[in-house]
Amino acid sequence: MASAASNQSTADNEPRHDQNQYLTFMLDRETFALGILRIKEILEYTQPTDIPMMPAFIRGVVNLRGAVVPVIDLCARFGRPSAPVSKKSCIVIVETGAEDDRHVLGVLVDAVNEVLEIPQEEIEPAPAFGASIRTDFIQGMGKVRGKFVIILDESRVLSIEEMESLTGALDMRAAS
Amino acid sequence: MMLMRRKSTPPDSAAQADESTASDALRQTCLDALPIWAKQIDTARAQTEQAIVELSARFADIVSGLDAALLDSKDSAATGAPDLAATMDDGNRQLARVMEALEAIRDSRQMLAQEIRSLAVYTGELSKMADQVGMIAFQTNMLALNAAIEAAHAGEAGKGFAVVAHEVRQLSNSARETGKLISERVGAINESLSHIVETNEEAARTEGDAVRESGARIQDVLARFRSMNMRISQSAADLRNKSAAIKDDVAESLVQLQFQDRVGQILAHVASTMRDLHERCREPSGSHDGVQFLADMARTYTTEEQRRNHQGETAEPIAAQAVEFF
Amino acid sequence: MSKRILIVDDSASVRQVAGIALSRAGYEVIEACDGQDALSKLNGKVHLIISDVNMPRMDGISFLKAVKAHPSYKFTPVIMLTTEAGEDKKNEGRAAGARAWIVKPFQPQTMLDAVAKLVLA
Repeated sequence: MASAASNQSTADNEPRHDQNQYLTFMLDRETFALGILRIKEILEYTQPTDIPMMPAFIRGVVNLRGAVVPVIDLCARFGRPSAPVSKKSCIVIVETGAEDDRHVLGVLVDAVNEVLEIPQEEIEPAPAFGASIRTDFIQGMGKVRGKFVIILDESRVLSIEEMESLTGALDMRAAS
Repeated sequence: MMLMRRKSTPPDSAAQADESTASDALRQTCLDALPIWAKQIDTARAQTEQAIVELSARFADIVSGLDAALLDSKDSAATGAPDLAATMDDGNRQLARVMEALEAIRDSRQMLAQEIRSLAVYTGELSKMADQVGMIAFQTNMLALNAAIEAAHAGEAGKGFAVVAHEVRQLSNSARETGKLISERVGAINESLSHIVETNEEAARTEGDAVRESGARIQDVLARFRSMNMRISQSAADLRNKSAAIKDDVAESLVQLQFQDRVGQILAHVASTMRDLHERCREPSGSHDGVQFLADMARTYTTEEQRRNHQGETAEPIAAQAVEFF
Repeated sequence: MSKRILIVDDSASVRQVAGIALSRAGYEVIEACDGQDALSKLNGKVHLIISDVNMPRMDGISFLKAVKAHPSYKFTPVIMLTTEAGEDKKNEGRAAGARAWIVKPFQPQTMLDAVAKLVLA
C-alpha cells in the first residue's frame, strides 16, 4: 500500500528533487530502497551490544554519539533467516515516526549501493500478491536500469507500535 | 749285472754219467727248472716294466695336462678378474656421477621452488594492498553516500554538494573496481605460482623416485654381478686347488712308480743268478763251490734290499734319501 | 735360453719322472738309455748330466769316466742317480769325478735342488 504523502508534512509545497531520492541497499541478495529524507546517516557495521529478552529482529543497540539506538535485523523482520555479517555490512540510521514522536533506529543491511533518483513515473504500486515480503511493507516498486527495486514503507516496516507489541508479547511469554 | 763265470762248463756227457744217484735226479730237475724260472722272471719283469712305463707315461700326460690347465686358469684369474673388478668400479663411479647430476637438478628445482614461494610473500602483500584499496573504496563510498544524504537533507543548498558527493562516489566505485581487479590478478598469479610450485614439486618427487629406483636397480645388478663373479672366481679357485692337489697326487704316484726300477734290477739279478746256477749244475758235481757262488752273487747286488735279504735281514722298503754332494 | 740336461737311465719310468720334473722347472731335457747311447747324444752345450750307475752295454761309472776324459765335457757336472747306496760305489763315483750321489727312489724336488746347485752358469 503506497503512502507517498507521508513525508509531505516536512517538505515545502514545491516539488523537490530530494523527494525522489532513494538509498538502495542489499538484503539477502535482493535490492531494496528507502527514501533518503528518512535516512540520517550510514555507519560501518559495529557489533551491537546485546540486549537480553529481545525478539530476533532486534540485534541489540549501538551508541550513536551518546544516544542509544536499537538495531533492527530486517531479514528477521521479514521473517527470513538472518544473513551473516560481512565486511560490507552497514547500519543505516533511520528517523521514523511523526514530528512529535521521533524515533531513531538502526537498520542492519548486507551492503549499501547508491543514492539515486527514481522519478515518480518510474514507481509502480505494490503488487497485490507474489511479493517476497508483506505487501503493506512495500511503498512501491521502483524501476532502476530496467530492474525493479522494492521501495520500503519505513513507517510500516519500522512501526514502533507493531514492534513494541511484538516485544511485549515476547516479554509476556518470557514472564510466564 | 752278469755273474762272472768261475769255471768252464764240463761237457753234458760227463754230467749225465752220474745219473744213478737220487741227488742226480734232483740235479736234473734243477737243470730243467732253472732256465724256466729264469724265463718266467724275465717275462714278469718285462711285463711289469712295460706296464709301468705306459702307466707313468699316462700319469705324465695327466700331470702336464693339469699343468697347462692350471697355467691357463692362473692366467685368466690374473688378467680377467681385475678387468671385471675395474669395469664394475667404473660402473659404480659412472652411477655416482649420474646420481650427482640428478641431485644437482633436484637442488636447482628446490631453489626455484624456494624463489617462487618467496614471490608468494610479495603477492600476499599485493593482495593485502588490494584489499586495502577495496576497503578505502568502501569507506569512500560510505562517505559519498553520507554526503549525498546530507546534501539531500540540505535541500536546494546541498545541490552542489550532491554533485561532489556523486563524483566522489564515482571515484570510489572505480577504486573498488581497481581493487577488485588487482585482487583478481594477484589471485590468478598466486594460483599459477602455486600451480608451478605444485608441478615442480610433483616433478621433483617423480624424478627423485625414478632416480632412487634406477640407482637402486643398478646397484642391485652390480651387487648381483659382483657376487656372481665372486662365486665364479671362488669355484675357479676351488677347481684350481683341486687340480693342483690331483696333480700333486699324480706326481707323487710317479715317484712311487720308481719301484719298478728297483724291482727290475732285483728280478734281473735273480734271473741272471739262476742262469748261472743252471750252468753250474751242468758241471761235474765235485767241482761246485757253493760258498764261492754265494759270494759272487753277493758281490753283484745293486740294491741295499738285496744285500739285506742275503744276510737274512728283513728288507724294509727304501725311503727317498738326501743328496750326497762330493 | 734354458739349460740343457742329459738324463741317462735304462729305466724308462725313472727317465720320465726325472724328465717331467726337470721340464716343469724349465730345463731342456735329453734322454739316453745307457752309457753308450748317452755318449752318442753328447753334442752341443750340455749344462749338467744325471746318470744311473747300473745299466746294460755301458754302466754309469764307465760313462762318467768317458765324460771326464772328453775335452768338451770334462767340466760338465755329473749327478749319479742310482739304487746303489753302498760306500764302495759312492767312492768309485767320487773318484771318477761325480759331483753328487742321489739314491733311488728320489723325490723330484730333491733332485731339482741338487741340479739348481750344480748346473753350470
